[in-house]
Amino acid sequence: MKDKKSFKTVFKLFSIFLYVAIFTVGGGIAMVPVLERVLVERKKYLNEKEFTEIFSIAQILPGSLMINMATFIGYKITGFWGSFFSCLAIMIPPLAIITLISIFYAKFIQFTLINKLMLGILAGVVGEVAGITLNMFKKTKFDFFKIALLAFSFALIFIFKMNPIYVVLIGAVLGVFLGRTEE
Amino acid sequence: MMLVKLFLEFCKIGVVAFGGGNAIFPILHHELVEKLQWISTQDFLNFVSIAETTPGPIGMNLSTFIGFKLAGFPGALVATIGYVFLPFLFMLVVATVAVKIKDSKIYKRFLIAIMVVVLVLLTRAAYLMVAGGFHDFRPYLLSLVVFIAFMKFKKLNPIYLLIISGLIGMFYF
Repeated sequence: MKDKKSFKTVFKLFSIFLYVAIFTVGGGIAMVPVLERVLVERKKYLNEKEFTEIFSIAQILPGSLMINMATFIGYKITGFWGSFFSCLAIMIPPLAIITLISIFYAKFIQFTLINKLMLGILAGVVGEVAGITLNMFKKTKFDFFKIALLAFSFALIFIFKMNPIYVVLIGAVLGVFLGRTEE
Repeated sequence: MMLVKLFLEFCKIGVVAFGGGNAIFPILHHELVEKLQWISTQDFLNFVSIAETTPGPIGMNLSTFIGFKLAGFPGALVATIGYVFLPFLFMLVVATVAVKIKDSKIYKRFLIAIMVVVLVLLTRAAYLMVAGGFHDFRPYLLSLVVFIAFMKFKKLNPIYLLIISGLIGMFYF
């Protein structure tokens, strides 16, 4: 951390990832719409393209999506300490909440009100993921290659139920050999 | 000694956690229940159902849970750090490299293709959440309302939308 400003940014990142982690229900994907709004549209730490790039790469590498995204985003914005504190932040809520639940383990399972709360948040997450998907669709400049690739991966995932990792690999190879860069 | 073992075991699990939480359940079951016999199948299934409905990444929740069960809070801490450790290092390397090669032609083509595939992966993620948790029309309706609000109010922090939908779920589901 070289100066006061980057120290402030690291702290800001830490607090953003902390509250985002609390609302990550149903897997790491839930944090994507929230992060996009906060980091791109409000704080302007990243532009739309950088965010999509980070999300795409985090999605295709081993490890949980949240950790991957936090590491990459933190690194891109403030280097090593950014990624370190972003990762630290997303570990705190699960540690705290799960430890509490472990202590009251048996009682928690029968607590339907919490299940309803979580289902409500999950429904919200689905709506937001749908929103961000539509936004990404709108921003993509479709040419013949991209339309073909989209249809092809759709078929592989939903009809042939192929493991997403292989679909990503196939897409990457096709892109490197057949794709075009936009200038 | 137990703590070291826990750390190493969860380091391993963290790396094979491809494609997010659900994908790692079979691996965890194989390692922890069948091979090491650290916990029973019944406990494992209970942990999974709780990990799915509590905040935080599912795999991380599960690591915390199992670590706590085996060695109390230090166990929870060590298992969670182990789960995060290698992906963190790996991603750090990838981020460093990606920042350096971002203008290369091959990398750009790679990215363009990956971004198209990710559109499909996002659709799949939404589909899986709906298929796994929505039992009647109310969650669908709520999703639709949140979707419209999310598109319409671009300045609104999406967290507030999630808090509101959680409360609606609590009282109307």
